[in-house]
Amino acid sequence: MSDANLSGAVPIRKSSLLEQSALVRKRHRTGTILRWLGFSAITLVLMFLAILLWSIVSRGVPALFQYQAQIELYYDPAVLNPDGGDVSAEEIGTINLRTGFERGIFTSSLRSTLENAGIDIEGTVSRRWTAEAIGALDAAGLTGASAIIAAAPTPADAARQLGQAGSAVRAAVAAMDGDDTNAAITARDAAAQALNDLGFAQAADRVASIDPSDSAALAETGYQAALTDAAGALRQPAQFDDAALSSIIFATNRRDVRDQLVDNPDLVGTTEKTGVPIDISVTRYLSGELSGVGTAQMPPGFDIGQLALVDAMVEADLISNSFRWHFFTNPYSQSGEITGIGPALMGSAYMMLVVLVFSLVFGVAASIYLEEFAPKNRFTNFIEINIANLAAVPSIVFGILGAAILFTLMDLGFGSSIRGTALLGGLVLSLMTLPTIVIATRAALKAVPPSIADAALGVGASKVQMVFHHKLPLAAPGILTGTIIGIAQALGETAPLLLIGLSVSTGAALLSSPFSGGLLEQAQSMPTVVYLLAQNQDAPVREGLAQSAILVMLVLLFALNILAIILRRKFERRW
Amino acid sequence: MGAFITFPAVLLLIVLLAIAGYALGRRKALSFPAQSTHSRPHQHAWHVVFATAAPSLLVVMLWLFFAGIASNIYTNMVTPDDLVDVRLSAQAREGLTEREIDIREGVLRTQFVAGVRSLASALDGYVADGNATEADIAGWNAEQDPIADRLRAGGQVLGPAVTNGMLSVAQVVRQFDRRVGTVGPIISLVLAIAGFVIALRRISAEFRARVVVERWISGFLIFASTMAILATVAILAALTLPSLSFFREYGFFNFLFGMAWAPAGDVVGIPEGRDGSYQSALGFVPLIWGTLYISLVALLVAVPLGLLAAVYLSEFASRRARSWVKPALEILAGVPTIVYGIFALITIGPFLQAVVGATVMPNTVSVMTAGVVMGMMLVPFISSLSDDVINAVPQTLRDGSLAIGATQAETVVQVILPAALPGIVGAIVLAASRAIGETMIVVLAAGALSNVQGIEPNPFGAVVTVTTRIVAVLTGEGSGFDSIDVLAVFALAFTLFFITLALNLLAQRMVAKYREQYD
Repeated sequence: MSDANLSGAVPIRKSSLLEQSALVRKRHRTGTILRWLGFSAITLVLMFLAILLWSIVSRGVPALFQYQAQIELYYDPAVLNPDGGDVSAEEIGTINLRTGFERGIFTSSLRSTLENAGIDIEGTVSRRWTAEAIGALDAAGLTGASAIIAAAPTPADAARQLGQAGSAVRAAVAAMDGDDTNAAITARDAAAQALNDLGFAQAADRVASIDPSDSAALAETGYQAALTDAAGALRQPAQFDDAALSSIIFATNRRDVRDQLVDNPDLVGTTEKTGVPIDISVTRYLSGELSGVGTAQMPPGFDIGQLALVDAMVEADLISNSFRWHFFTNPYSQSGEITGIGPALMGSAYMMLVVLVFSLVFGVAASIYLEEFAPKNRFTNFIEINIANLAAVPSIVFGILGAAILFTLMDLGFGSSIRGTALLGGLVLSLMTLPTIVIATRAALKAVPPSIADAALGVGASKVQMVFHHKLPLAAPGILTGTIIGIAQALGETAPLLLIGLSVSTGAALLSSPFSGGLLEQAQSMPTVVYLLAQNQDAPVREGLAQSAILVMLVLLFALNILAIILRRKFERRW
Repeated sequence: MGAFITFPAVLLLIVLLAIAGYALGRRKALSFPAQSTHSRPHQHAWHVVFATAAPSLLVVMLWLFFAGIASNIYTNMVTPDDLVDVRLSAQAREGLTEREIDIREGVLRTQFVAGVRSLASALDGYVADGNATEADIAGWNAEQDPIADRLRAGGQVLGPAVTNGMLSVAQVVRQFDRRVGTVGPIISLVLAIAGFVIALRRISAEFRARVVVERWISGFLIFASTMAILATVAILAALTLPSLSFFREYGFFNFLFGMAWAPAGDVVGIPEGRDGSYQSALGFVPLIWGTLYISLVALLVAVPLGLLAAVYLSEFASRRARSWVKPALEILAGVPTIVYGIFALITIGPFLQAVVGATVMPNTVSVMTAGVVMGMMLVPFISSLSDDVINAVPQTLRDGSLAIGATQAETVVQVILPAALPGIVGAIVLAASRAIGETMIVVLAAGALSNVQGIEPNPFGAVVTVTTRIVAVLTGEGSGFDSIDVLAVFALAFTLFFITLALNLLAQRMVAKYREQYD
């Protein structure tokens, strides 16, 4: 074919090497498109990665800081030691957490701290609600409300008067809707009178001038809604009680304070300045995520009176934002204020220990056998197929295997105490890691040049000696790298651990040492705690602390991977 | 006496004996003239260590495992059939068939045995802490003494309430446990000492210690390499046995073609619904529908992106760009799936909802939420596999194509991709298998807690998948093999295992064939 082209029979094309024809340009254009498509695909994926990491860091880092109220905690003898005399640890131990500690100590300490800082608690709350009422009235054009409210003997009286006026307006709207013109006029005038009595002269005139059949016009003024809202707002301060005050801080079940007092009863009667966590919903107001204006912007379960107090506390410098150290030591808890990943870190470390011992010993031994000793026969072939398949089995199937082992052992009489132990979790994860380590070890053993083996055998070493004295040390860096990568994978595995009960074993505080049975205690693990945090009822926990826990996990993962890379760079040998 | 022969003490003794064996063996071997011995002194020493420790440690492990089982069997044996604790009352028997009574009494018996064993260990702990003597316990009466409270106050973990029947059986079982717990350590200790003595006496100039030691080592190596087979066999057994009993109970075709999934917690063998069927509806169709739907979305995202990325990286990108992009993609591949799941739940889900509106997408969890994120997770998987495959296309094909005047793009599209096609399809099949088996993303982002029971055609609606149902049933206080729902979940895992196995084998064959073509 090429001969034909060279023969000269083909007419000379009028084209130039320097000038591209339309066809060539078109062909190159397709190339450019392909190149751009590839480039944008990679950009898209990298952008996704960037957004993923950003969403974790931008949420997780702020959540690691916690707003705390600086409270002078007074260990009140009246609460802790009602019968007087010497205080004993047992006595304190029996005091009810809710009534004694939450109400008796925390709430009253908070109250006195605020008062000492010059905050008038009830006054602050009622001023905010009054301002809210005036705002509502002003918005509807009922001007001069502040004087009217101030004139009333108490806010409750003002609320009653405003409420009555509101009812009068509502009655007027209803009457004007009806057919009875006289009744409509009477009701309209009554409403105007009520407004006039209150002091809203302008509004009264406006109501009086409305056509009695035009109920829509009266409704459009918005007076009724404004009056009712204002009345409601003015009634709120009266409902502000200790429970509303103490809900600002996290005082629920303060077991730690009780334990501290049990250990040291001499503290009773003393005052201690402590940081008490602010309720986790309020933190979103403090961080500016929720503005506190309008229902959608309120922290769930709180009202503006409480927020006014929070503002006052911020102004009096009673609220500090400090690093949440206890997040790294506390056990998991439903309450975001005190939840932590301490036992989870520990449990994960234990599991990684089990994985390391089990899969390293068995993985390396299996690879040595397959690579160096195994005859090429059906049996070893079968083993190889098995390892390849184990590598591709979905992780949840390993979880099912773990669950089956768990149920079987329970049926066989090992009791349910083996559910969720670090040993069981570690063994399941080891089976998943085994193929990774086998593949890495075999590659590392293969990379050792045969000349070394030949030399060892040549000077009279046995095969076992050749492998253990020469090949294995040279392959060690590769094996180590593979092991670290396998462990990093195992660290993030969640599904198998969920199925063997690690998500329900939330009771464990800190585990004992692995040598004294710590492996057989109910454990938590990082990924399962992340899972639990992600399903918490409070949005700040779901979106904040879950990300902090992920951040910790990712930092560990990256550290492991970087360690693997460094080891590879440092010890890698090329022959 | 009995208190000192416990397993920890015996383990310590064995370790000490092994260390002593090493030292003594070495000393004895050193006493021979160096030229006349077959093996080196440390090989003799190791021989003593193995002979001392290996058999006895093996006995310890087996004993620990089988003692629990034996004690359970023994408890079952000594529990009288006419004990009130394990019999249904006449009232409860009414209207039940013979088989149902048997099943319920079986459940009672299992609970009783578990209760007795936890009581026995609680009593052991109570006595060991010095809270009571054996004579005290012999005088306890469950009807008058608050035994459970007493034990719990002593820091013991206890199951259900304590009855006199439990107490009497527990005392018998404790005696048995004590005996077993003493005999086991003694046997292993005797083995250790015997091994120690025999191995030390065998040391001589002619003794081929190295050969024996190496035999021990290769024995262990072979044992270790059968672990992979053991794991596979264990998985198969764990999946098959419960699945078979589920299929027998519920009907294989009822499961495979069932159109609804609504577990209700029936006990196996006792269909409580009307017309003698189970109340739980355990149909496979909605689950496989959800699984395949999400996998399809994931592949639609992952395959174009992954392929384009691979083509760009292997054919167009500069060496510098490659050295930056590849590690970045590896980061994406190394992120745990639960992180993707949470990202989908709190970032992608609300974003999609804002885009398409709340009428089309009532929840933030949906097929698209899970599918898009899973697709992104699979991109590095597909791109690195395809990258390998594309790089394995012989350079001669590239050079030939360029030499006859094709542009680079034409070479890629018309020569390299067709040549690499089997490998690329293999990569896609592998990705599909991963998508089907993926758990945490779908649990968090596809509606794990939703009560969807049937087929949901809306891509922005929540679905149920195979893996989410497995997690939903087995998370929490799973009730063991006596619930039909748990058995059904094993059947789900069984089908999942075989689907992914088939896909993996298919992919492996394709890649292997492709390799053969160019080798």
